[in-house]
Amino acid sequence: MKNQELKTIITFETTQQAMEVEDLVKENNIKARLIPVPSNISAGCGLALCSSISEQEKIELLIKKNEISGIKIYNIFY
Amino acid sequence: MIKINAIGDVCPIPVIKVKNAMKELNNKGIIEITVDNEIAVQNLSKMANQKNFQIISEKINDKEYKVTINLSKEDVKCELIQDNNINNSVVVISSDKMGDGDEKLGKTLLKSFIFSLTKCDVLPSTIIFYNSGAFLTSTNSESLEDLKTLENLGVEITTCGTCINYYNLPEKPEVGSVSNMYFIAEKLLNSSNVIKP
Amino acid sequence: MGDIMNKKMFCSGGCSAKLGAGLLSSMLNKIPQSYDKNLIVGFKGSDDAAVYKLTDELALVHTLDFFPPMVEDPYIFGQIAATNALSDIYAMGGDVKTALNIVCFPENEDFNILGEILSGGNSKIIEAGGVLAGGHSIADDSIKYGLSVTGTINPNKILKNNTPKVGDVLILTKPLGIGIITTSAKVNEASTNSIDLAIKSMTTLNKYASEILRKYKVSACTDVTGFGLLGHLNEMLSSTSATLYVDNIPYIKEAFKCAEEFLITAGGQKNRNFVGDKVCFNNVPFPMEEILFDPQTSGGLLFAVDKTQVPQIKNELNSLSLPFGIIGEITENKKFKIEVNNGGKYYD
Repeated sequence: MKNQELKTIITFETTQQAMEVEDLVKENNIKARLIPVPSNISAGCGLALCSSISEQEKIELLIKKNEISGIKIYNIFY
Repeated sequence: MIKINAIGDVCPIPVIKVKNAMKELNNKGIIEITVDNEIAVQNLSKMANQKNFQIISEKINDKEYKVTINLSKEDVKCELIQDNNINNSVVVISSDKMGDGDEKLGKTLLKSFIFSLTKCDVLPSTIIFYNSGAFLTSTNSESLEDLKTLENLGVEITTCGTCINYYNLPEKPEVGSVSNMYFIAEKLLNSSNVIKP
Repeated sequence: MGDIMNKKMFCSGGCSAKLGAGLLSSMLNKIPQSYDKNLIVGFKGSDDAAVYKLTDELALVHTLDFFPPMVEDPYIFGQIAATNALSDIYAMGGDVKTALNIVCFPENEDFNILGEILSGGNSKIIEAGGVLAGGHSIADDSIKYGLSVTGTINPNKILKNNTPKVGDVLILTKPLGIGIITTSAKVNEASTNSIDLAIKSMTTLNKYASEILRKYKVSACTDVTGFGLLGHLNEMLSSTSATLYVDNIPYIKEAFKCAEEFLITAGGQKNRNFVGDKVCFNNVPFPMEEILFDPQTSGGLLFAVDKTQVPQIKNELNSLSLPFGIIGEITENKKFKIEVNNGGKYYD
């Protein structure tokens, strides 16, 4: 079984938002990536941002600063 | 389902409340608990994970986290990877985009597809990269980590040498081998399934 | 007196009450530091106490520590808080001279409780050979107590916490698991034996261990408190790494069972978040991981000493009243700062 870690998963309402946030985290050197939304979470858009827990606070600040709404933040083992 | 309010509770009270609920439910069913801090979420997650229960936590706001623990062990995530479950299919990546249309979307979809492969139970025997697909195995590709994971799981990764040369990419790809059209043609002909996303 | 002994204080965790290490260090890094050549140890090295040189033979050692109660008995709490504050002096290799009380106490609480706390604290200051010279108290929502301590040391004999030598062995002078046991005790899940052992550990001065290890070739020394063994070991390592052996690590046995039951602290998880990615666990059972991250209150000394001196130092440490362990060794810098192996290693 693959070694699972507790991760931060952020879901979006639209794909555009997902891609916008992917660009933002890259610009700010935050280690996070887009993945298909894990099957135990449902969301408007099929892509979610995945990162380790330690990056969660930075990502949240970035999203707030850029006024991206409708996001949901989850922690799951992945 | 048992709903627990653990707002204001310090560790290990939330864990104890959940353990009591588990006993009450006889380890079947769903427990929903609200806590007010990230650390409580992490401690609950550690426990659920050690006991092999599925756990999802949703952050409602800075002081409220809704944690859902599913006690049915048979609800195993389909993303479990089993070693050596490789079939005779070949995946062909003929472009750095997936589908026709918006370029940015196409690139995102392809990254997402390669990631999804790492989560599949049964893996292809080979992934062949050609034409602009060659960028995916080169430096600066955002899929390198996923491709290396697939390689470690026994998937053969190979890139067309002509394409590497044409696009002036580094001679040696970051992952997998370099092959020529003979090799690629033979691989495709001998496979039971050719998958082109 | 019986009435006071039954007075319960609301406990919230001793060294688990420390602010997370990540938050702290990011703030401290922003504070400009003025330069004084006599300040031989300041907060840049995250060392245990500050050391200020007065003459070639004499330096002042300066530290302070205070926290909310983690036990219900006020006298014992006073003893624990004092033992904890005094410990930093010993971790530097110094001797205690004076102490000042730091008190936060609710105005409408029974003042006899405060009396008991201060008595407990004073008993330890006296045992340390120091003198209580005053203090300061303020009204606050909840009880907190501790000491500001001044000691002395020869500047040439300071035991720094971040200069370990490759090849040296690591020794820990008190058992781990204090955070887990005190937390489990709060919810009535720890046996009296374990609680007594935890209290004994928390109220034993590091003076005795310090006086022994000063005679040996110690390359680094610190005390293990709120950041857990792994957190404090990580602070020690600078450009080296360490390998630890689970079977060699002293801990309160029941802490393993409690950790298996997830009776663990928020502080432990914070420590895991801060240094977890620097640690490689090789087949280590999960409860043992928790014990290694568990915040200790008034924990033992962790020091690195020349391997060839192990037989003699082992002999002397055997005279201490608490179990100690030769828990591992300092190695060259590796991919992971700390490797923890299941199993044991015999050092002689």
